[in-house]
Amino acid sequence: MISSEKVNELLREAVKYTKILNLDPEYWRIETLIHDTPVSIPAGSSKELLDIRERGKVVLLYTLCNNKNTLLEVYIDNMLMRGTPSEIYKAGLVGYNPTTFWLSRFDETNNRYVVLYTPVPPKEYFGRVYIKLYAPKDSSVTFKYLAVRYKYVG
Amino acid sequence: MSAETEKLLEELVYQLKIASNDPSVWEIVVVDVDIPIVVKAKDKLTIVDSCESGKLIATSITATDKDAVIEFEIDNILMRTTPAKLYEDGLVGYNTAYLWLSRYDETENKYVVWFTPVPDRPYFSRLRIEVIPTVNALLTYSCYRYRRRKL
Repeated sequence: MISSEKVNELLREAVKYTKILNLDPEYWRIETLIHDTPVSIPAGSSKELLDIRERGKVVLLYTLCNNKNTLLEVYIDNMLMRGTPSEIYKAGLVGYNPTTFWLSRFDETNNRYVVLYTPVPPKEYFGRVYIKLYAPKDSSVTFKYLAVRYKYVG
Repeated sequence: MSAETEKLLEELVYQLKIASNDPSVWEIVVVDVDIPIVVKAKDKLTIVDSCESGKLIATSITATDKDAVIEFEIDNILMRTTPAKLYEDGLVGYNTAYLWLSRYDETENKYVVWFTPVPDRPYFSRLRIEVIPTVNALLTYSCYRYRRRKL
């Protein structure tokens, strides 16, 4: 026969995991990283937007840049996504999708390139997340970004 | 059964009801203004300002001012934009994580902005949705959300 102490321990675990599923503020905090003022990266250099080791969920990543050959790298646990606006455009990812990068704007006349990552459901991670931008070797990049995530605080 | 076990079971059932959108825990609150109202330049139109727990399902805002400032405050997140900025960013089709335009019509002067998070976006302390036009503007709007019933 299972002891009442063991039953209570299991029930506490069940409550905890249900609260985690419910995004209860006892376990999650929503965090925003926003850079509304344009930032520049010299030719051949890179800029790290985020590098964290925690548990969380990625809700939204938005980047706006002026160079179609800017390489965007997103690493979530052991999943690596990389691509330039130009490559994403060539892949035909020019409208919303819930899985990988997509372009809302690819404008070679005004040099305006908007890449989004909007996973549904929000992409959970348990180890490391980093987001990095690389300017091409021959030209600099100016960009803005917004990242929204749930951070586990339990 | 001990009092602690009973309390834990009750809490577990409550949390499962939250997860299941059970109507004993949630009620749907709808704001739907489809007759255009006039909002003067720089006046603030508040669509929702709530300090309860809930989940945002969908919001739409139709305005005759492409530079109207639209603000969404969801707990500690603030999204501030205008129809013109969304258009500039190419956000002219459905997405599940940010604001988007279903119409951007400079001929008819009609701009329709949506926020349709998937899954529903929970909030625990604040939901504020406001519009501040830059010129006298006609506005219609809707907002669908779940509100947590008080225990």
